Amino acid sequence: MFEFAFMRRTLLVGLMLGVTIPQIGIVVVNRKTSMMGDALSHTSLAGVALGLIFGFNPSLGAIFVCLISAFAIEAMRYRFPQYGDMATAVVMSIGLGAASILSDFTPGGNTLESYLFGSISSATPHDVIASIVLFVVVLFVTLFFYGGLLNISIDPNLARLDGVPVHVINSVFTALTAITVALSAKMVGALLVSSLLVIPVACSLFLARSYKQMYLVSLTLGLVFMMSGLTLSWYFEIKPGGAMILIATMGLLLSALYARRRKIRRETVLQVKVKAVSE
Amino acid sequence: MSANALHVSKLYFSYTEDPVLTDVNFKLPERKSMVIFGSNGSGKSTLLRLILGQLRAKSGDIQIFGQEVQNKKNWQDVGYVPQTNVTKSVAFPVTCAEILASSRYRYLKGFRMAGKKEYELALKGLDRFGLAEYARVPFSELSGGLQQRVMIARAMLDKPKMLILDEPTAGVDEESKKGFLELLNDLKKKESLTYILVTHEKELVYDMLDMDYRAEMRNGRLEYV
Repeated sequence: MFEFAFMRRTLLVGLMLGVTIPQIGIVVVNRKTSMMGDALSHTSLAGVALGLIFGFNPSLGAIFVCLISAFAIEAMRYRFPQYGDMATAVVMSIGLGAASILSDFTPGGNTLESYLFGSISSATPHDVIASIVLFVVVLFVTLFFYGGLLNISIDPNLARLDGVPVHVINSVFTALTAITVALSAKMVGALLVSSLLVIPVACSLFLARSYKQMYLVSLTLGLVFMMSGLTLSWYFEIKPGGAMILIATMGLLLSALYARRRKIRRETVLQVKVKAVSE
Repeated sequence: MSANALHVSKLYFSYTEDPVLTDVNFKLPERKSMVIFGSNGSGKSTLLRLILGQLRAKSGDIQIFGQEVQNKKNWQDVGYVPQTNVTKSVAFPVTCAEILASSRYRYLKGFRMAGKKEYELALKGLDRFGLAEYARVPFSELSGGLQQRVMIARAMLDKPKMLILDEPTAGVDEESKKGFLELLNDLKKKESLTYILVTHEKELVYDMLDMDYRAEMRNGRLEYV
């Protein structure tokens, strides 16, 4: 598959997004806003449709719509904290409604459909540059705010007292979430990108025993799921997004089983120690 | 005469039209302790959120060590132990040492990642409260009582002048509650700080905790009991 230029581009974009997406995933999962990725990926379709109708880059349309949607969700969450994920549902409904109407006006062909489930041949040289820039920015910002993100995950109020700029960090990651989802939707598929945002992190919740391990496990698994999904997609001629999610789901099941076994082993060791002490 | 650690005057607050706090006034001198009782909805949590600068008062004034809360930027002198439902929601993998090291955020430079120095301090902090063996244990695997001990160790790591505890015994078993209150009594004997404890468990705290002042929130007002 390396002999084809489009496949080399796809794998390079996959490499970048495979590490980038879980970094955003950790933030949304720890902030308990996992469904935000789902809402943004669905609303990104409205931006894609706008791009296709008016002849500009659909990814730019997706980024624009995702940014507006992400900050709308955050504003509503801040204004009505007691209603939980209501803001996510409202924004997702509006985005999907707009996308369904706009889809009637998009030019023929399967372009919009390819955004729904992802396309292995869709990565352009522009996408390669965009994914590299996104990778560098997200990695730098994540490392820069590593400590602050941990404090916010423990408790935002405690973080504020510790001197963490909570609102700044939240705003930066809201913007980065929107851009990451918008750029990933093209290759992974708008309907599936949120899974890749959450599943590697969900696996790390089973496997990791520290915050540092959580990062390392999530990033490694994100990369593994992405690259193996793309490889399967190439050899079995299936949609890349679906292949990634299937592998990720298997990864999640294996992680859960491993965690269960580890727990039983620990309890057994503990019981042996207690028995030895009592004797 | 000692200076006031906390001075609340003519405090008024409401979320909607109905007032939650009406004309709350009290002073707490430095190195004294105070427990604030109150049933659910009495306004005690709102009062605490105002003291911690999380909410802005409609009118009135709150000063901590002579500094207006709304203008307070550095909270190094205040240690805060959040409610048990906050600590119980820390479900992601994070070790107790990481929890303590994270409190050093304001001293970190550049990438602000806790390093060797912060982890050594964290280990000392855990050891001080008999928690050294839990340094590498995920916080979520601890019992509610142990989690609260870790949060006290975290709050005390920065040598605060005031320790604020928000419902520290809610939702933990009776044994852990008693253990926690004994720990607090010990801490009071060893560390001459200003203590503020907010709780709804009047009888338990009344019997077990030795505090200088006892007050109760009733209908949005604070009354000494």
